[in-house]
Amino acid sequence: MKEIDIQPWLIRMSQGDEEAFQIVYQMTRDHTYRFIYYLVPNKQDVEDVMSEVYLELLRSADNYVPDQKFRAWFNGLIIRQVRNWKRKGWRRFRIWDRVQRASSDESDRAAAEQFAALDNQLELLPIVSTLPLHLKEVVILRYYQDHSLEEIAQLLQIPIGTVKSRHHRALKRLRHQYQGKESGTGANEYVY
Amino acid sequence: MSIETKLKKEFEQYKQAVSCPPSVDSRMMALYRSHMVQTREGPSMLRKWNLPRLAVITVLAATLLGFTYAGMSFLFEESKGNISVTMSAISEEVTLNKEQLTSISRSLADVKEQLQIGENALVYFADLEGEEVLQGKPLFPVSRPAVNENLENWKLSIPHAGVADSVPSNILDDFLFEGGMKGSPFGLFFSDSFTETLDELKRESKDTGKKVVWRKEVSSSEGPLNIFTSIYRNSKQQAIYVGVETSSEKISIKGIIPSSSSYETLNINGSQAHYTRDDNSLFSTSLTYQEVMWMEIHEGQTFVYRVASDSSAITKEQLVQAAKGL
Repeated sequence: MKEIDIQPWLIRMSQGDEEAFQIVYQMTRDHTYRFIYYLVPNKQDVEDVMSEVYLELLRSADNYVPDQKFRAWFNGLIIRQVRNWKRKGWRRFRIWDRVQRASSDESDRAAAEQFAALDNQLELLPIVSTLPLHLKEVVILRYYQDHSLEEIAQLLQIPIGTVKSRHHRALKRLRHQYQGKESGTGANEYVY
Repeated sequence: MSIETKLKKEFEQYKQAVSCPPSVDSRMMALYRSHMVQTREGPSMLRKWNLPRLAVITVLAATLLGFTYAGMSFLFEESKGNISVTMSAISEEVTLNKEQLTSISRSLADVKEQLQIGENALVYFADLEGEEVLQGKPLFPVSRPAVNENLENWKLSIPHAGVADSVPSNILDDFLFEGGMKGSPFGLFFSDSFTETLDELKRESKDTGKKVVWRKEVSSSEGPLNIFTSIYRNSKQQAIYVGVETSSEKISIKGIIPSSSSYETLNINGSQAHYTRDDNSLFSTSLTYQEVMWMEIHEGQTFVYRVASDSSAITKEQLVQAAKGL
């Protein structure tokens, strides 16, 4: 997403221009999909959350101030929709799916298995997927989206100290679990 | 290598493996158009879409499907007030064949005959365990709801005055009111408690060698969706069902039909409507199910209307005419 390119389309979109929405959507769709994909434990929910994100974008496009970096503003919007999804206990009666949200252990295993099934070369991302949401957010914003810790604090609307604490705890857990996984296999790579 | 570097490396490496499927695009555009329609209807009609607490599946198709199949195509999504309705079509390659559908339909009808009025049951089919479309869970709910044959009493039982007052004594002149029921004779409401029953029925099937086993299921509540269905029948015994759905909770209704089904958008008295016809419907003894569906908001309450028939002889035009006359 290029910051300069998207702004005129956002303005037109907020004025009800369908073509502008299409362009904004095309410019952001892959990013949005991936971001949500990393954050939600149940990958079947990605499209539903994506709907919520774009609905919220339509509703709140007027709130976007051109001085802000769109990427950071939009990432904050995505994170809020994912949190809403989790917090409000979105229970879905899907055919053959359990209505109740799986226990954290079950969803941790399911999430890790999904990554493992897709790419055996990944070692850390499967572990990232098992982190609690508030730690996962910081890791993904920092290492996938390349936001500084200050930007993350602003985006998540939390103190910088809290961001640093979560960042530290997330990396600590990742190191611990990664090294625990590798210690039995004689890894020739030390991750510190 | 530092863990920070490894994280960046893996995110970059994995980036290409995760991309937005093209099927999402049509859904987003439909969402946009639905949102713009609501916005144009005025601020009083605009509801902030908070995430629904509950979702109910209304199955119109012969097969009961999850939502993770390849080859699914999005048909439409309508959101008004606290209710969202989504419909998708799925490839014929993963649906059950006519023989299977007929067999299931007959077995469900047999079980239904054994139920008392107001009772529900769950039916397990051991022979369908290997069917990909059912994902190892060949379990079907069936119910025998009470039908109120007195029109005035039926109207009194509907808590929404606007809905009750609009229940006619006949539609299309020759279809007369036969009865009203809570719930729908088509489609299913699933609960997570079904999973426990599935395990028990599997064991029973294995122990007894029976291919079809069932047991009565006690519903703890009517579920989050309130459905009122009025049944009309003509002298040829063809039926038209007029259903009204509403909820006090924020919900999403998702349906799936085979890709062989017909689909068309219509206009019913100024509201966008959707016509679907499925000739491989599990819940119709004739295997045909067709309906015209639309949504309206009255006094802040969202209603989903369905004018449907399980008769293949009833035409789309008759259903549309019936819908417009309500």
